[in-house]
Amino acid sequence: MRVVGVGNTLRGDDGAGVVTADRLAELRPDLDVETCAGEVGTLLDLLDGEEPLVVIDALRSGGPAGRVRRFPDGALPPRREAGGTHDAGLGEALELAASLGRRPPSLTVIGIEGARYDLGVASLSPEVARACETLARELAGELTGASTGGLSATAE
Amino acid sequence: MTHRVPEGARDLSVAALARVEGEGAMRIRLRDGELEEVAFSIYEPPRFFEGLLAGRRMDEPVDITARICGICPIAYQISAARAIEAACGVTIDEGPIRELRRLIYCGEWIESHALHVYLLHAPDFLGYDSAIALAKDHQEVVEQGLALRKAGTELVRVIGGRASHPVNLRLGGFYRAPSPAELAGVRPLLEAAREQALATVRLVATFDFPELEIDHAFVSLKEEGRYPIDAGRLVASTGLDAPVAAFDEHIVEEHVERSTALHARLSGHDGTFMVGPLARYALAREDLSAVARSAADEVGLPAVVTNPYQSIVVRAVETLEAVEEALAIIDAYDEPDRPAVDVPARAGTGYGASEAPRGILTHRYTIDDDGIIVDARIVPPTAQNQLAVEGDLTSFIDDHRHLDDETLRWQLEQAIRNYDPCISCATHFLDLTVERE
Repeated sequence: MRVVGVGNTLRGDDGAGVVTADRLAELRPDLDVETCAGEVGTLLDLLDGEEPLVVIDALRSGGPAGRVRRFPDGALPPRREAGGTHDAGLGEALELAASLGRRPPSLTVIGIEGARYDLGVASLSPEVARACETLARELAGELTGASTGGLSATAE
Repeated sequence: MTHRVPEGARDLSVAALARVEGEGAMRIRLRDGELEEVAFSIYEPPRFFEGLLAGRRMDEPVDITARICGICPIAYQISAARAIEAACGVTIDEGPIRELRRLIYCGEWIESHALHVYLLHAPDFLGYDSAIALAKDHQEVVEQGLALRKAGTELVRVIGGRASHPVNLRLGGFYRAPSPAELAGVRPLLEAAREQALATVRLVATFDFPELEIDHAFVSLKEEGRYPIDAGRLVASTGLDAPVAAFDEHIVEEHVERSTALHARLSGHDGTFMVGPLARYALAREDLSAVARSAADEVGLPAVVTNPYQSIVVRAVETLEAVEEALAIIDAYDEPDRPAVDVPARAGTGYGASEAPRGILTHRYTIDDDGIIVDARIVPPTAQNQLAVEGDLTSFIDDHRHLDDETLRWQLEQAIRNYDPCISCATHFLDLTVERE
């Protein structure tokens, strides 16, 4: 089991995935937890692993700030068409990984709805900060150890 | 994408250049066949971080600025460290610490260039709208890019402590220096990367390049005998040769009404200028390794490349250069006695510049006697290239206005991609605005 928090902690709620992952690592030092900025190459490397993978990322879907949603099997809803010139996001990385035949044995994406993504802001909105703490605690209780098991794939 | 077109006008816009709406956009208006407006505008995330740095301790920017860009954290870390060290009167221009910095920077170049060449730029030339589509038909091409990139990732991980968000860099050097054996462990990957990089040069040189000639001045760093990567003086094709400390005298930024971004000009030069692979290659071709130079010769790359679409070939040559340089540094590496030199605080202003994969990244810090940052300034490469990008778009449209909208838009997007713009620095989140619940 590997847990990856994706995001940028200097961009307001964009850091939700990283904050949650860091907190989870504090609560459960036995887990394999890491963070990444969401750069597509790194995401592809992570998706190439042989262990079940949980990815925690900030989500912008128009819902209330702090709402946590789970997407088992990495089944993200269709995203708005948007091509980056420089980088891609988790959605593209998943799609690219699939077309290359890369897929971890299981993949759960957990999205935390953010409210503000201001550049140069090193803090989360209060609702999002609370959601991160709650989610980290939930995952700490839910996830089994580094070598075995996985995550219950309960949707939403 | 196309909207509110006045009668008789063609309005091309690409709002989806960036991960976040409004962060980067290209707007082009043609009326009755005449070009009415070209605007390429971006927000520049680094600017927003300057305020965050003021009031912090001088050892913090190396960590904080690494988080500005997920693609080039090392560039931010090295420029930040060099600037603060300069403010404190410390220079690290030779010795094992400097070599280690250059080595990890080579890793970032390999990662970033491989990603851009294979996942972002090659699909344009091969007729695909994305790497995803390319991978479906030519998995081996994408796999080669990812394998090449991996050598860079491994270098960054071994020296930086982590592949993403490197944690081992600090003012004065590193928290821990890798052993020669650890570095030697990356050698097999780099040797494979040398072949992959050479194959990449040969592959991309066969692409068909849309015709476009540019006339921008070239600006890069320069160091005799070494291709500009982690350090150097500020030079230009105009004859400029100055220390990085004189950056503000030579690269002057001005506000432009339509954009929040500052537009940069080369002082004393009427035209536009560019930074990045084409500039480095034009100004430092003679400093390339024999292997990289002979690869460039083999594919007939001219000594000065003036078609920006050929930047993909220059990037491939630079990737080979980074691999060669990494191997040379590893072979000559002596573990330093101490992984970092002391950087005692003293009041002053310092500049630090390095060649991020997409061009010169300059940091300037003013600190007080207690080592607290009074003022910070970051000038990223994309900001410097903004006017050059607009110039390229204008020239291209002038010659290609007969193209239909879709083809024109695509080739213009490609023209922007020539610069590998750092539009999406610090932004990545999942965007799901069309979803209905």
